[in-house]
Amino acid sequence: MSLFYVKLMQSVIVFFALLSFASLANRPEFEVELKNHLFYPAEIEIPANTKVKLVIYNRDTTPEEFDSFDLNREKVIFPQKKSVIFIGPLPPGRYKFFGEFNPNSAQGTIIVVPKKSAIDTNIETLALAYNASLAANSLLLKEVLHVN
Amino acid sequence: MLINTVILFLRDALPIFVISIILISMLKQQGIKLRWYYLALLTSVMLSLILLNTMDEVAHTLDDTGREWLYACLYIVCYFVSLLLLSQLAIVKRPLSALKLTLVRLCAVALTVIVMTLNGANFLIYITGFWHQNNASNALVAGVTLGVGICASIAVLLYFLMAFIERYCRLIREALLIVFSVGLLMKATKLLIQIDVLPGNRLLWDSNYLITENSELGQLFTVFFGYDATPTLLQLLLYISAIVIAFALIFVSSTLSKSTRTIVSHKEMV
Repeated sequence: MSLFYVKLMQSVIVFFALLSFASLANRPEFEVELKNHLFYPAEIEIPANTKVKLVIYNRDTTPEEFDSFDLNREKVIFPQKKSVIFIGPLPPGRYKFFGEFNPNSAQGTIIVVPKKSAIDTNIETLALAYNASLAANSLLLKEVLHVN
Repeated sequence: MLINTVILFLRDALPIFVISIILISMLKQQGIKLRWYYLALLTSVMLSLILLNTMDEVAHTLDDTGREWLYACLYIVCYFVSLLLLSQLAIVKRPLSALKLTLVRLCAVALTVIVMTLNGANFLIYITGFWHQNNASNALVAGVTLGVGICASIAVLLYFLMAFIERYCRLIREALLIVFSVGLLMKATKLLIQIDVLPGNRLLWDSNYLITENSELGQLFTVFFGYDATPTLLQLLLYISAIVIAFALIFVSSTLSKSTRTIVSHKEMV
C-alpha cells in the first residue's frame, strides 16, 4: 500500500512538473498601465491563436481588479504594483476587460488579430519608438555641436 | 460606488452565507451544536485580517502568481475536505462515534474557515482600498448593509427550502455541498489556467447571452454550482468527474454503512 502511495506521489509530482514546463515557455509579452482608474492603452492588439503574457501595472494609489468575462480572467492588482496573467489562445475578435473596482472608468479591449497584422503592428510600434529615439539623439548631437 | 459595493459584497459574501447554511443544517441533523461555527467565525476573521496584510507579499511570490497558487490550492483542499465530510455523514442515519463527530466538526470548521478567509480577505482589499477616498465611506457602509440584507435573506430562504425539499429528496444537503465544492474546484482551475499552469485551450461555448456571469442570477449560479459562462474542455471534464466522484463516494459510503448495520443487527440476533 505504501508503495502505491509513493508511486501516486511520484505521478503527481511528474504531472505538475510537466504542467509547469508550459509556464516556462516564452510567451509574447504585452503591457498595460492603470492610471487614474483608466487603462493605457485602452486597446491592445495580440496575435490570434497564441497564448500571451499580459503585464498590468497599477500606478494608482488604490487597488484594482482586472476583470474580463470575455477572457474568463480576474486578478487583483495592488497599488503601485504589477501583476501578470496569461490569455489565449484566442480566435480573432474583440474581448472587453474592465476594472472591477471602477467599472465605469477603467475599461479596455483586447483585439485579437491574425498573426501577421499583429506582427506588423508591433513592428510599426517599434519603428515609431526607434524613430523617436533617433530624433532625440540627433537633437542632442546638434546641441552638443552648437555648444562646441 | 454603492451598486458596485453591493455586487462585490454579493460575490464575496454569498459563498460564506451559503456554505455556512449548508454546514449548519447538515451538522444540526447529526445533533451537533453550533459551537464549531463560532470557533470557525473567530478564526476566519483573524485569518482574513492576516491575509489582508500579507496578500501583497503573497501575490508577488512565484513570479507574481502567489495569490493564484494559494487560492487554487486551498479551493482544491476544500473539495477534498467536502468529500471527507460527505463520507463521514453517511446517508443511512446512525449515531456517529465521538471520533467521527470530531472529524465531522473539524471538516466543517476547515471548510468554513477557508471559504470565509479567502472571500473575506478579497472584500477587505476593496473596502480598505477605497475607505479613505472622498465620500466613499458612506457608499461603502450603505452597500455593505444592503449586501448583508440580501445575503441574509437568501440564507434564510435556503435554510427553509432545504428543510422543505428534504421531504421529497433526502440528498438535497449533500447535493448542495457537492455542487458548491465542485464550484470551488472550478474556481481553482480558472486560477491555474490564468497563470498558465493548466492549458487554457479554446473556450467550448459562451453562454453570456443566456445568463451573464456578472448579473445577479449569474453570481447566484456561480456561487451555488460554479457556473462559468465560458468554460474550457478541461474544466468541463473536471467538473463532470468531480461530481461523479462525489456522488459515487456517497453511494459507496451509504452501501457500506448499510451492510455494516445488517451485519451488526444479525450478530445481535444470534
